[in-house]
Amino acid sequence: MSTRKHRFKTILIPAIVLIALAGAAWWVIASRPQPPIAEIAMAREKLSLARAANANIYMPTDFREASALYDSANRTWKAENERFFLQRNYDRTRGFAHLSTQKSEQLEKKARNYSFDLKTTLKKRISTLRNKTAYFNNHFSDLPLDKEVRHSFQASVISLTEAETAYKAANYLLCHEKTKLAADDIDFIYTQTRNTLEDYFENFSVWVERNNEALRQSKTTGDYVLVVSKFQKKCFVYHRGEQVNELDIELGKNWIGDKRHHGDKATPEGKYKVTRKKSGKQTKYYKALLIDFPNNDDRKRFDAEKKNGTLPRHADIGGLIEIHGGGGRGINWTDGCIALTNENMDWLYTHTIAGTPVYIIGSLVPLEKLVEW
Amino acid sequence: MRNKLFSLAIVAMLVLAAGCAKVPQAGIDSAQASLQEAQMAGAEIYQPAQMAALQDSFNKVMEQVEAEKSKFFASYADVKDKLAVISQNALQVQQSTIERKEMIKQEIQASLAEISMLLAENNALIEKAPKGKEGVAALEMIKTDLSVIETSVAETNSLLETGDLVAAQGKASAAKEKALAINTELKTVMEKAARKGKR
Repeated sequence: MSTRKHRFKTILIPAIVLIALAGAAWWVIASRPQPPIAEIAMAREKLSLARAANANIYMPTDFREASALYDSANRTWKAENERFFLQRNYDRTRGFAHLSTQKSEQLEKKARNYSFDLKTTLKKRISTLRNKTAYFNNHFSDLPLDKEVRHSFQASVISLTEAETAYKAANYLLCHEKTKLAADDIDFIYTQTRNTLEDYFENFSVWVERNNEALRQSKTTGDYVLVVSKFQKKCFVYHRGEQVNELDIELGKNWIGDKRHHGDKATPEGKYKVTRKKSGKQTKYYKALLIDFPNNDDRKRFDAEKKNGTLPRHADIGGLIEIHGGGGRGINWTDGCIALTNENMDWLYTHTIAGTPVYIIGSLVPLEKLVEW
Repeated sequence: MRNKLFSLAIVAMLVLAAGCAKVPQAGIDSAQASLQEAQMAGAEIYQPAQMAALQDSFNKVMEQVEAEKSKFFASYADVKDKLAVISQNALQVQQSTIERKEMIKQEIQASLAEISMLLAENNALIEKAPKGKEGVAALEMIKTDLSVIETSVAETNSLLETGDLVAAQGKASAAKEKALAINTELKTVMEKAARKGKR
């Protein structure tokens, strides 16, 4: 009996103690704080998605904040792991991870929207700027604008090409920067051009009146009267109050505005008349109609400019302004004369005489109908 | 009884030893250094997707390290392997970044050389161009255009010096396009003039 009792004591009691200890150990292990593995993984994945949406490029400050929150989560997790396992508390870590996740989610959405909007805006902007440069090239490339304007125009074309390259490479920030540069240059050239043309067209009512006068004169006298419209690059021929022909012309390089002095490559504006008809060896431009530039008005204006100092004292008024052949070159190339093709010159030569009135004006069409800003 | 207790103690010590496996700090430091080197080489700009993937993998492994620390029986064998792979990949990304940058630099240099040739050719064509009244007017405009290209070349060189290769590449390419357009324009004018001369 005592042996059985002894066995009970030596086997059963330690077994019970062991089971109790194991149970206690299991309870301790099971109830220890659980590490924030899932939360941190989630924060990392969301941060990664935000980066994939280029949030680090479009919203760098916000992205750095989300990134710092993720780092803080990791740092506090590491710090808690240094402590005795029963004393660990992952609440702060979870808090940082949660905040990072939230921030990254918002950022990803924001970055995707921003990227989409930017892409759409840039596509439109590039197209608009391309149209503007094309329009400028087609409508204003023959205007006597400053070198600076021409320089800015070419610079805008280069910036625009750079913007397109960046757009194709999905480098939207660089594209944005380049379109901005191009837009600044284009704004500058359009402003300069607009100012030049608006100044020039201040005389529009005078030009219209001169054209009406030419029409009336052709009706009253029954003669041919010429109206040269510089902006339209046309020579209108009136006879008995009707327009009977319309001829293409070319002018001097500096064709906008009145002629001020010799060598300025400008075509004078005003009321003139043919003083002499030239042909054969008398002209090197096939056939020519010499006009009476400078007339009295031109001399008065020239003298006034010299007097007020806007022209130097030694300046010369110039002369020998003709309507001549040799044109059709597609560029404003004369020294201030009006050039026609030889074929048109033949026609004009036969329909004019010494004394034929010649009105040289800026335009018959108002600026707003000629140009779309 | 004593023997049994002794065996139990040995098992407990082994278990504890297994639970105290050390964090592979050397592997972590090495992977981190490799990542930094890749970053310094410019991988974030020239290989952004690869660099982001590497950084993500590293973060994941560091999370695994902490997760293992939270366990009673930590094991870092898998972590060590992953860190070694990250180090190796980071080196590859660094190498490919250097190669990519070199390739871009060569492309830029080639474009600049081409532009230089085109500018020289354009200047020669201007010299040969007809000097009639219309020629002079057109050539003056072209000279202005050429000066814009020269400005672009100078800007490209500045960008190259500051290491902004992406912007330099775009600028060189745009300037080359413009120089080619002017070259074509000049050649067309010359051909027209030659035909006119023959007539």
